[in-house]
Amino acid sequence: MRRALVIAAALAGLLVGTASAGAASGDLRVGSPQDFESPNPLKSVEAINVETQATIIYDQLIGLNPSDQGIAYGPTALAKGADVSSDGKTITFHLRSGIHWSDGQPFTSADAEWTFNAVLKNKTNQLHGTIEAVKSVEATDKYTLVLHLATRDSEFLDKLAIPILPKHIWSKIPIAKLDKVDGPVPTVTTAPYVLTKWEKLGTTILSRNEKYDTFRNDGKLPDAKRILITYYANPDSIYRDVNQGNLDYGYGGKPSWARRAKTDNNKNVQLVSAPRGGYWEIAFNSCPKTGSPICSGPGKDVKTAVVQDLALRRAVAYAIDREKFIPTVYDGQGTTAYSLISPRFKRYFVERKDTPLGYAFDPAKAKEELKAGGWDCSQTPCTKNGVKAQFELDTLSSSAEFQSMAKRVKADVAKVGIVIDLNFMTDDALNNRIYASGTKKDLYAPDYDAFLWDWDVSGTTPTPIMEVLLSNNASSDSFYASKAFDKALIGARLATSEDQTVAAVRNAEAVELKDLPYLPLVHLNAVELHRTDTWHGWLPSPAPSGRPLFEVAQQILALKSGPPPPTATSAPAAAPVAADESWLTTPRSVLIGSVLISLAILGTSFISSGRRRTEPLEWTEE
Amino acid sequence: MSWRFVARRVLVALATLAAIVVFNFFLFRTLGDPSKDLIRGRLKPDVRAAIIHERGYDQSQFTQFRIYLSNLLHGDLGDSTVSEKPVTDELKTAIPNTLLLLGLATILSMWFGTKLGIIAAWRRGKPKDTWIGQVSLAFYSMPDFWLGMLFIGFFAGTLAWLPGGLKATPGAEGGGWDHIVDVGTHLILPTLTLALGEIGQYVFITRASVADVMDSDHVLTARAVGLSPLAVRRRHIVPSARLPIVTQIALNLGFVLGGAITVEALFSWPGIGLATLNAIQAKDFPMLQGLYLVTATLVIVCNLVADLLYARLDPRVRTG
Repeated sequence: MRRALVIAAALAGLLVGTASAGAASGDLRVGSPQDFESPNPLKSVEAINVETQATIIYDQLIGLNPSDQGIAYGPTALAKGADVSSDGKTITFHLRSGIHWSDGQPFTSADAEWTFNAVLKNKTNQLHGTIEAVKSVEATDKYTLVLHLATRDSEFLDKLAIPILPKHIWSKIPIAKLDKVDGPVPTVTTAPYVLTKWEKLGTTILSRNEKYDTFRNDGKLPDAKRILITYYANPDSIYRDVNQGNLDYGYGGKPSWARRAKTDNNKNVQLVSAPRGGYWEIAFNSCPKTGSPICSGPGKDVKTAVVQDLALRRAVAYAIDREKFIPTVYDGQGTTAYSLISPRFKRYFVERKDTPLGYAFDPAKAKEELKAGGWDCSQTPCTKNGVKAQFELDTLSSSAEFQSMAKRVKADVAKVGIVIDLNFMTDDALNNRIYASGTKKDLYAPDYDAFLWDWDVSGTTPTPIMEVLLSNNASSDSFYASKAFDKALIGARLATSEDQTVAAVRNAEAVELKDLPYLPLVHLNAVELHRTDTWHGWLPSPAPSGRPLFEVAQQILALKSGPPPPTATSAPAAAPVAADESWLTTPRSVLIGSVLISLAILGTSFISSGRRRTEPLEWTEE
Repeated sequence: MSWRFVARRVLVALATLAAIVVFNFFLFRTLGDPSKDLIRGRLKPDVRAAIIHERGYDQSQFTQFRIYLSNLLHGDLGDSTVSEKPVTDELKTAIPNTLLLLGLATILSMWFGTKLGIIAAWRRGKPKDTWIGQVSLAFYSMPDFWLGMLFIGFFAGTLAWLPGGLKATPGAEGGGWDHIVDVGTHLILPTLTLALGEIGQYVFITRASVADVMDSDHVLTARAVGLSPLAVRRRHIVPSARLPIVTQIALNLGFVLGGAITVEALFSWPGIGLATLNAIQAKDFPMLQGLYLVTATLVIVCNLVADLLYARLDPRVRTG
């Protein structure tokens, strides 16, 4: 027994010694619940992939100001400025000279021209949709690139996110294959990091581009020699490894991380909770009986007299206590939605809670709306012309949070006389209901009453996820058809100033809230985690509470190795630690479970060992 | 063992495989129409149509099946709709990792399970028998994911002795021995989780089988001629008792592969279990078809080998 204990102790010592060095060796270690699916930006879908390529591995023509994410042409951008013609259809980029690819070749406008043309000509790549408005591209000289747009789009530059690729490398691949290959590894880039190792479901390594043109970063290379992005199938393991010092950054966390971080109170770990761009909504089937550009009319079983009744929609809005979703379902990580536009988009966001279009929780008003709309609520469910105020609400069986919200919605509306029947189904089944085939070719006959789902967007403008409400938008799932909404949102594209654009988008939102094809419920936060003792100089974007990585290109350049230096007003920084020896990093339930199992085994064995069976043949070992 | 016997077994295995190929294709189509998933992606209709056409979703299911069969006969499992890479390439990366994990777990559970089973049978009714039985039963009745969570919580969380996941330390450099030690360290917890979950089966089968043989006439005769108990055990009991264990190994493989999905997901172990989970989430039909075909083939081959081995070990099977 003693020998076994000695061996176990030696093994434990060996294993503890295998922890990676981290910041001391120049590694920035990131854990992600999403797989780094490809080094090729034209086939990347997962956020970790897209955001890494946009902010660390490749440069773009334009940059963003870290503080407010407004367009900026700082040294991290490949263009030093752009001119937009008076009709808004011609954009001329003036590119920076003296920039080199990591293989030593000079960067010119030919690279940018080739990249834009490749994205346009290869129609199935992931970036194609973002520059559909571009009619043609031309490099008029070595450092000038001109984009010609088919129509004015005042937010074109806000939505532009094309990583510029080296023509001399990528042009060897046929255009049609560009989104089918993974591209060369190591990558060739003008950005500060080169992807040197790509491992699916493993660790992808970005190594510092030693040939980075340091005039773009005050004459210095970034501090992190390598960025290690490791895939974790289980987000809770990321949380644990950040807490133990095995990771420096936890990407794509769950709301429950916030609760655990509060309990654990690890002084070397900082929680980040930053508004995301999306909205989580109840969508009512709004396909007109006469059809729209994309639907031939609602499915035959849809309760149109209920879900297309404006008074009922408003009653539902007033009846739901939306304030309780964030604290009870999402651990406080988000904000209640009284509008489609997330508070992430500060330029566009309007606080509507205390306005008539906010529909703040007020069951009495819900009842008034029903009464004014001709609903008789002397019994439950309310009725109108013999039709019961009862409809089906579908949501995803894969999301416990959606189901929880749906159950609370059902309970709330029942109090004002509206009955909801819940259906939990797979996203396939829900898609099949939403996009049921119509009576005419290429038109849908949406076969649902209402569903609870979400739309999410990153970037600097909310319009991509408002465009799904346009009457001819192919991705519409509410099949809302409103000329007033179309006019307002298309007006935003045609606006000639930022103020006009913002006003038009807000106006479109107001039209939507009046008709309520979508009833917004919550805006969620991105929850992430980083160490404060292994790296410092984290730069939140947008300030002051945005994510400190993967938002803008300047963030990785700002990171410095080790804990922050002590200042006159602060206490000396804690020394870096390999792991926090805190019992709280492990849920107590695990420990209690272990003890209970041990007791159960011991108890059962004790009881059972009391019973001796007799054997027909007595066997002894020797 | 006659050639006829072997041929019959191989034919049965091939017929099973053919049935699985057909079932495999249509099973995933019941999940829904994959082309519908492209709609919530803000794709223009022509782009969506191009993708749907490229993936063959615009053809009838029969045509898709015909193409699938034709490609399969040429060793082509299609391209993953997520990575756009051949499924065979994706599998080549995942299979060795799973074989390493499952192989090690199976060897461990089989070795210790049979040893403990023999000891338990040998000490029937004694405290040792009770202890082995109860502890094995406790581990056997625990779901893999829960046992794995306990290990992670205790060994990776509280004690911080072992890594709680991944195949190797992120960014670890150096090959050879260092790499082997690194991967070995990361293998400990997932292997223990799988092995401890499986060990009970081997204990119970072995115990029952050995106990059964211990009561048989030829063992009594061996004792009567004066052989020592250990000699009787080694020469007459264990060889006769190993037949059910062979069957158990083959039958168990399917269950172990199923358990690997949970364990690989829990420990972020990049094998076919984790690949299956990701393919289900992404509705990557070609990948799923490839994974299930490989898994099913593996189970069928193992059962075939067990059948043949059984016949080799027990003459009654090939004659009866």
